[in-house]
Amino acid sequence: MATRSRRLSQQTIDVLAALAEKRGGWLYGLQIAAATDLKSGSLYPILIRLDERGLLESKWIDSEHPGRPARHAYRITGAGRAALSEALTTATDLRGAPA
Amino acid sequence: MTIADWMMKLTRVAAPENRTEWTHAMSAEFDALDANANRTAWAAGCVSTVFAWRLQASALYLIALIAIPVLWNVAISTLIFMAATSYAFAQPISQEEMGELWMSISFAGTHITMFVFAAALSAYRPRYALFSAIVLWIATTGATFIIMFGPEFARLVSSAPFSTENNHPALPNVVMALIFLGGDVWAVAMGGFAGWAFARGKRYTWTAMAAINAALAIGFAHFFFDPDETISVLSPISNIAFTTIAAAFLLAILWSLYTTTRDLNRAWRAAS
Repeated sequence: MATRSRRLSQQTIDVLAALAEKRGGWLYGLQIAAATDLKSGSLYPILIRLDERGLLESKWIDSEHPGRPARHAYRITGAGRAALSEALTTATDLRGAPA
Repeated sequence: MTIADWMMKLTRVAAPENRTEWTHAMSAEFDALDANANRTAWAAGCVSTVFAWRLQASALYLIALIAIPVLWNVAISTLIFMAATSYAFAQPISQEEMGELWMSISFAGTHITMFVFAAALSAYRPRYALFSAIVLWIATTGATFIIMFGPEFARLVSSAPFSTENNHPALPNVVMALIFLGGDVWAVAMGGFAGWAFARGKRYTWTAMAAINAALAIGFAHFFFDPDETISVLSPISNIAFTTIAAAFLLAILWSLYTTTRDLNRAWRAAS
């Protein structure tokens, strides 16, 4: 698939890895930012790309605090897991390759 | 309002329509931040993201807006100069007439080219038609015009005698200033209007603009190369046209400034 063949950046892999660690659970943008150490200016363009490529899904979750707006949450998809696995395998192969 | 709050508001105002959901997502996370978290850093990232989206969406337009004046200043004006020179000096006419013919071809070529560029840019981005026209004008002939005629232009308007009866500047002096401005800006102003009309499907308007542009270019050429001395008939026509175009151009700038300020003010209030 065209989406799979595109090489993922390290930051993108970090985001997918953070989502994968949640094992099917939803994460908010702030939680992903904390897990990956990414700033909002780097995180959201990555989230948008992953969403457009079907590697994650998103939904709005009502805030637990009344009066606060609903928050956007993210979860990795099957395609996202496959892309992450492929990216990690490639990275391992590259590290193991002779110089 | 803190700097972080102000930047988040700017983020919501500047966000392009196709990214509204993601802008809300960033904004909701900002609202969820702890009081002791680095709210300014989060807001700064959101602002930079939104402006990057804006730049991406207008990348081709901005490249064209920069490339056209560069291309014009580096190559096209030279080509017009060379074409006018080789044509005029190949004619069996006196040396004085050659100079006049060269000048007429140069001016007509310049204004027809500028009309086409302004029309193309405005047809591509009709919302920025006036902006495109202003940038094209200033980056090509406008900068020279402002340096050469700006002080004189200001002097003509400011020193125009006031009528004691009607308390307004004397008409001829103001018109003179408008003729000066119209004589330089007409091609991009009409090109911008024609491109906007083309994009909006107003075919009679853009056809009329193209026809008037061609007529003015020929008239302009005739102004310099006038062996039959018909200039006394043509010049009032071109002066009326230049005055009208310059006045319309200035009014369009004022109207655009007013509507842009009003819309930004509304968007800023709505983003609260």
